Amino acid sequence: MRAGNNVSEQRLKPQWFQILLALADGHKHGQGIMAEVLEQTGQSMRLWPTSLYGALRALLEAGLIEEHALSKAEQLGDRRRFYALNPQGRAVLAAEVRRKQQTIEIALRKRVFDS
Amino acid sequence: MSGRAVAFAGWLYRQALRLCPMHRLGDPDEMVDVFALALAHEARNGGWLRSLRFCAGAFADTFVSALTLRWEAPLAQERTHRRDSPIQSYRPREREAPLPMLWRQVRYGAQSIRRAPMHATVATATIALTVGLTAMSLSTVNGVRGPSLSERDGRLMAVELTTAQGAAGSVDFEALDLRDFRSSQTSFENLEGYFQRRVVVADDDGGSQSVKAGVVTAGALALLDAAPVLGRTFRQGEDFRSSIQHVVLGHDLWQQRYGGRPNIVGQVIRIDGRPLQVLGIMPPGFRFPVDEALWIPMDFDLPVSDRGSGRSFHAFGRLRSGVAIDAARAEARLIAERIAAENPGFHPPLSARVFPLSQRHVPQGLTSMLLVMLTAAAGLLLIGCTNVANLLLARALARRQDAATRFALGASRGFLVRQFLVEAFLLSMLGSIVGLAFATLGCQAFERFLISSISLPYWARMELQIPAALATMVVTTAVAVAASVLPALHATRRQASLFGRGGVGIANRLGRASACLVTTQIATSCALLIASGLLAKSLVQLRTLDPGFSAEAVVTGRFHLPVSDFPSGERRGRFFAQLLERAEALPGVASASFARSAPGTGPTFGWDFEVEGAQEDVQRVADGVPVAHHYFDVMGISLLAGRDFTEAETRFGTEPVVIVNDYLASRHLGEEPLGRRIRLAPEEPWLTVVGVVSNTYIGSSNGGIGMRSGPREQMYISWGVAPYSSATLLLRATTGTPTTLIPQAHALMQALAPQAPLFGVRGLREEIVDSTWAFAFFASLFTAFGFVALVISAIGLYGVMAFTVRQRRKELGIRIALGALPNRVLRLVVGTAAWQVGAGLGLGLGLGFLLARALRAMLFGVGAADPWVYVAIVLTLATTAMLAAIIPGRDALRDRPVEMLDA
Repeated sequence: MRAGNNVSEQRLKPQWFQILLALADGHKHGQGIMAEVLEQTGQSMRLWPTSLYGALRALLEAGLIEEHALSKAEQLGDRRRFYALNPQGRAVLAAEVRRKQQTIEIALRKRVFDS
Repeated sequence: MSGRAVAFAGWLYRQALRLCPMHRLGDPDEMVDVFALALAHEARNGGWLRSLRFCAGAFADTFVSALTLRWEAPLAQERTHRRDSPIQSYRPREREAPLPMLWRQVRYGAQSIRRAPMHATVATATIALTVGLTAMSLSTVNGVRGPSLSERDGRLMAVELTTAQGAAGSVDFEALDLRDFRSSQTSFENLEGYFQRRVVVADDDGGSQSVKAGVVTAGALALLDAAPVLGRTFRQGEDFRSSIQHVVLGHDLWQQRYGGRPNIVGQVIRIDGRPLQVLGIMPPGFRFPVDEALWIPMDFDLPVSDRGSGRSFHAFGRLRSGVAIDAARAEARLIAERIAAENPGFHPPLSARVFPLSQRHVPQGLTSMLLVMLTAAAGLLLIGCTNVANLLLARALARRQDAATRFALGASRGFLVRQFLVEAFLLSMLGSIVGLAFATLGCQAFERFLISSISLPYWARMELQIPAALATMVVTTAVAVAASVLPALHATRRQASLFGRGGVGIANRLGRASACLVTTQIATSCALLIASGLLAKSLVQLRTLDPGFSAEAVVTGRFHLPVSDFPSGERRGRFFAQLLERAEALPGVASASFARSAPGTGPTFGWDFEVEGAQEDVQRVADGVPVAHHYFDVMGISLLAGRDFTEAETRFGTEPVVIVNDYLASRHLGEEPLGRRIRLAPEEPWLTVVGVVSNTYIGSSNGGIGMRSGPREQMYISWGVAPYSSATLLLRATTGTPTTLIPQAHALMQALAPQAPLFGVRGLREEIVDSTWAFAFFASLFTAFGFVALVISAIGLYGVMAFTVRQRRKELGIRIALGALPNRVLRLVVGTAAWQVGAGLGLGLGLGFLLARALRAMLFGVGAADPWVYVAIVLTLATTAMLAAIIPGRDALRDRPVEMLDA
């Protein structure tokens, strides 16, 4: 739990946040995450393979995600690893989203969209 | 993007991944898979441009990740370490391996460089400019110093006949001289001859084309060790007049004109209208003597020709191994004396010169020019290094407090000094890399933009010389390191370190060193700028000065009438008259004439003359040239008074008349020059002045760099007075492209006198430009250098002045707090700078004058002491230096005194 606390204290790096967000609706492999992040950031965040795997490794070490074990059938002819959120990761993600949501609510109250 | 391209990119990516610590990433196979899949996706949807962008991004990401991943671990370590013990962190940890420690220092150095971006930028730019320009100028010197030769080729010697009196120029070799020389000499493996001419190749393979040809004796190519890639070269005896004529083609011409067809060997091509059989093809890169495209044999007939009828040429030979050059010289001199003694009617007393063949086509004065160039490079290096030293010294002084603090906290001296060293080294490397890139590009740009407008000999190259580049890098880095490490050593001495804020003594001492550097720098820049200013002015003069004649649209060609066929002056006179008549009738010819030599092409000789009825003890010298009628028409020289020569005066044995230029008329002939008489020697006839023409200016004094400007006395003697047997035909074309006349000129001579073909046929403009290439080349280079020297000096001055002012901030603050007016304080600051600048300028003017005197041969229309150039340079430098002092001074005074005192 200690690592997770550390991470949430430090606030998530944008890339980590996006990866966690990409995994929120189920397990994905590397390329899936890459495509999903590109998609959900409106093509603005491209995670190149090296950064992506560096971040995945760091997230694994921080205990926020884990490798998703596939069934034999799913694994057939595919050596790619799949990653999934673990409860810890989901909690951190939720905390971050909540923080963002609070910020947004404040911003809306301050009518930032009204010019 | 094809599957193979994707696979290749994947392979490259896998190699790049090796840079990363894989234990901090994942499975490399999987990453390569992801990379390839994404790349294929990009290629499908976005085309090759997007794929390329993806690759660039992925690779850049890999490199950045490799760096950050490798850095993060030690950083994290350090963070915890620092929390534990703040003092300890300044000390090298006890059992730390040297390499990681160095790495840490490099990182720290990079951070500290980043913290002062302005300083880093200026220092990098200065180092880059210094390294770049010095490397570039050294490469230039190396590129034009002459063809590089093997040891065996180094023994190729030119043999020249000279008049015994000495330097008055060389006497050309003729066939019989060569025969006599060959039979008596023992120093050379063999003696051969050549001359250069322009020929017209005309056949079905691409129309007629004018190319440079080397006309050689049969053994010349063999003597050069040049083996053909196809066919053979000339055999002994094939230079004699024979029924079939041969030609050897250069590789370039073979490729361009004949598409590299091997069956061209044995075929007949037409050169100057004559059918010649192709004997062989020379290897690529073979050129002789300068940049000739093909070689034809000399078709003189050695055994029967009499002296004075053959064509003249250059002789060369290869020194036998073991024979010293001095021995060959002594022998050549003896043989020359004997030849002259045996042919008293033909040759004046002769001597001979023997010198390396490679120097023959190097313009005289080039060696001194290269020396000046090297001096300039050294000056540039000095300015640059002074700058670098100053900048780093200033920075090191500003940080010595930091160093002293760390030292007091327990960091070892070696560690701290090494830190400064590492930083200086980083900056130097950064600057050097930028500088080398700059030099490479500079060389290319120089070659493209400048050399294309100047006709350079084929061996002149502008390529970055790696040893020269490395040498400049080493010097600059050494200076940078020394300038950083010395203050650090001082700051970490035991006694100095006790006062964190102290070190005033050393600051003063280094401040004085810095002042010396400023003076040196101003002096060096001043000298360099004077040289380049004079050269720039010369270049402008040369380009804008009206030479007094118009070389455009003029074709020249020399010919020689054999004495055996044209024994009498009268016979020659008839030939010349006929030649002019026929030449003027040629289509495309606006006017035609001939003269002993064309203006602006080669040496001119001064003739003594006396004026009838004038003082006799005055020495009068004029450039004299015998010319035919219409000469002034062809050359575009305007007639100011009187008349041109008549056709009758061109003929032999008529009334001797002369036309003089304006300068001679006004200096020696008084108010009414027409009708006065001058003569060249007491035994010569009086020549009546019938016309005055405008002055012409360009005269290349020795066919090389030396250019002469300013009017000189000139006289044009009517051809009939002295009908020489050799002359230069001059044709003005009706259109701007005179080379179209070349085939017609050849054909005309062929028809009139087949035994006297034209040689050296080319456009006059081309000939003049060729004879001044070195001048234009170096003047352009120097001008560029002068400008850069000014920029570097300005940067340096600003940096140093700013630093000096910062050093004095506290003092200035006290003065202002005590009531001094800011303007007076500013005057104080500027006054100190003015002393340094003044001393530097004084020194620089002296140095500059010395440099200018060494350059005198290169100056054109400008004296070595041209006051305007000196004044302009002094004003520019003084203004720059004063601005560099005033701006930081004003900035400093803008702060409140309290802040200044706190500094």
